[in-house]
Amino acid sequence: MPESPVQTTDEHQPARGVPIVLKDLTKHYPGQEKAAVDAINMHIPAGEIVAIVGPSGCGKTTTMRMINRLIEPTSGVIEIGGEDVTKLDDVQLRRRIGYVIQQIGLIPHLSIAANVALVPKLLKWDKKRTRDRVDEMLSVVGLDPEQYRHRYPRQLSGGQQQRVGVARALAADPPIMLMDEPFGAVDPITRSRLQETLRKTIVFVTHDFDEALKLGDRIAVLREGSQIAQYDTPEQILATPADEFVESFIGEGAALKRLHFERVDSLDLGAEPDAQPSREVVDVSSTLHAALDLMVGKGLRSVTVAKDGRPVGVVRIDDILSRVHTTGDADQVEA
Amino acid sequence: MNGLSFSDYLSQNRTDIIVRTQQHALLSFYCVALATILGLLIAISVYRSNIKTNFTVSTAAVVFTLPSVALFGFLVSVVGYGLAAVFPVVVAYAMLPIIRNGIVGLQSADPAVLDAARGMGVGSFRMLWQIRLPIAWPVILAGVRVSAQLTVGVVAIAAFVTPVGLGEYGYDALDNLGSVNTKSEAIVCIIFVALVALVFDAVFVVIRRFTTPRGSRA
Repeated sequence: MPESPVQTTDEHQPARGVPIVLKDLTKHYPGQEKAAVDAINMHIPAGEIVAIVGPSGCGKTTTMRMINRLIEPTSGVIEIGGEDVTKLDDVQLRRRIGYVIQQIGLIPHLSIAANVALVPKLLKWDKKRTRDRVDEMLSVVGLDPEQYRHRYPRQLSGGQQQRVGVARALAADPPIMLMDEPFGAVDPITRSRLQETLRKTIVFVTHDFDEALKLGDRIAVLREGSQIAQYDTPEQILATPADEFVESFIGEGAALKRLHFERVDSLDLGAEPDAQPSREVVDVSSTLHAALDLMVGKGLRSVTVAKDGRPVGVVRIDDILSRVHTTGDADQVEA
Repeated sequence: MNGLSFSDYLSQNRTDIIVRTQQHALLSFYCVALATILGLLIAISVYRSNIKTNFTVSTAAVVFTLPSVALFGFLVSVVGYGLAAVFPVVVAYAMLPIIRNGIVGLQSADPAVLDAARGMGVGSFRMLWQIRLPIAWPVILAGVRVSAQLTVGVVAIAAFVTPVGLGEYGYDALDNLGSVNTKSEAIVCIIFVALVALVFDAVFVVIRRFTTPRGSRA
């Protein structure tokens, strides 16, 4: 068997994300005139969460499923960690790539522990290591191993099943995770523990642009045939959508969404003498969205900004509104 | 003269009845076992293709409509009297519910379960052996159970071809119609065939209890 570039590391050192590169990746189904995925080129940096969004039928799922070769590409190259994986044994390859799907797909006749142990077993880990890893993973996703190890999928709520699905995908410590419409599954767990501490490379597919904004370090907006309309950070896509297609995908309220990505300290906080001191306080690291929300909620025109608990200035509602106006090109905001 | 009472008939023919009941049970068991192996192999080889599945299920259904006596008669004309004429017919009947349930069971796995498993590197042999078959198991077992009931009945008819099993009493009763023991012979045939069937059924309840994974129990 050829040496796989996506080796999992030993048990003490969690595997860090590796970059994924798609070169002219194409999927052409026989009997269909147009390619489902037409020569897509994409570079997914190590340790980032990349959201692939697009209308249904644009080929986003096909693109993702070609990365672990659940769908064999017609042509093109997939490089994972710098190595072409299109020639590797596909079953072996998949054991080293995490995979989470919307419908979860836990194996009904196996206990939660056996479900999580699926890939470690395929990789022939010894029993003790597998058992320890299962307990560790269940704890990571917030399920008490003592309580849940011996239960069966049917006995868990949908949310708990989703977390088991994530634990199962992570069990063999893959450097890469693929997620198909993961919804809640990525939310609290993936974002904080996996991404910030483990720096996995995560590719997920969604039709929900807001989910992509919330979770993605980068977003690839695809149109039909898996053509990339825009591939950029959420901030940049909101601020400068490449074309009408991307704009239509962003939908209503781009200006407000953008406030999620700007911090209070990006504004001039110089203590205005005429600004009335406010009892409401936001931290400098808060987003403008949070500050605006506070003001709207409390009926205030300004709030105090604090750093390490000490007031350093004031942010006014007018400052935020003018920021929205200057960065938004076409967006009109009703104040 | 009044012949023997039923209880006297039973005690006089005790040894014979026990031997025939054993024959009947064993012959049924062998036929069901063979039908299970063959039926599952057929189900496994066709379940992935709709065309093959339809062809197999409808062929089996046609076989099922053929009268067993006619089939026994046909086989006797080919291989002569004896067990060689019994096995093919009984096994053919016994396979139908197993093939049908086998196919249904193997196709019943949730596509999401299969996709997730494949996406994590479960190969095709493991997929069948460790995922599809265990998920299908309760349905397959139900098919084997129906098959066993059916087989116990068909084996009774097989006595027409070879003097084995409880069917002999039924044929004796018909041959000696009007004679003193006719009724007792017929009743022995009915009761003991039913008894064999009930014991088989009880065995399946136990098998199901011990082989169904906890997660699959309703």
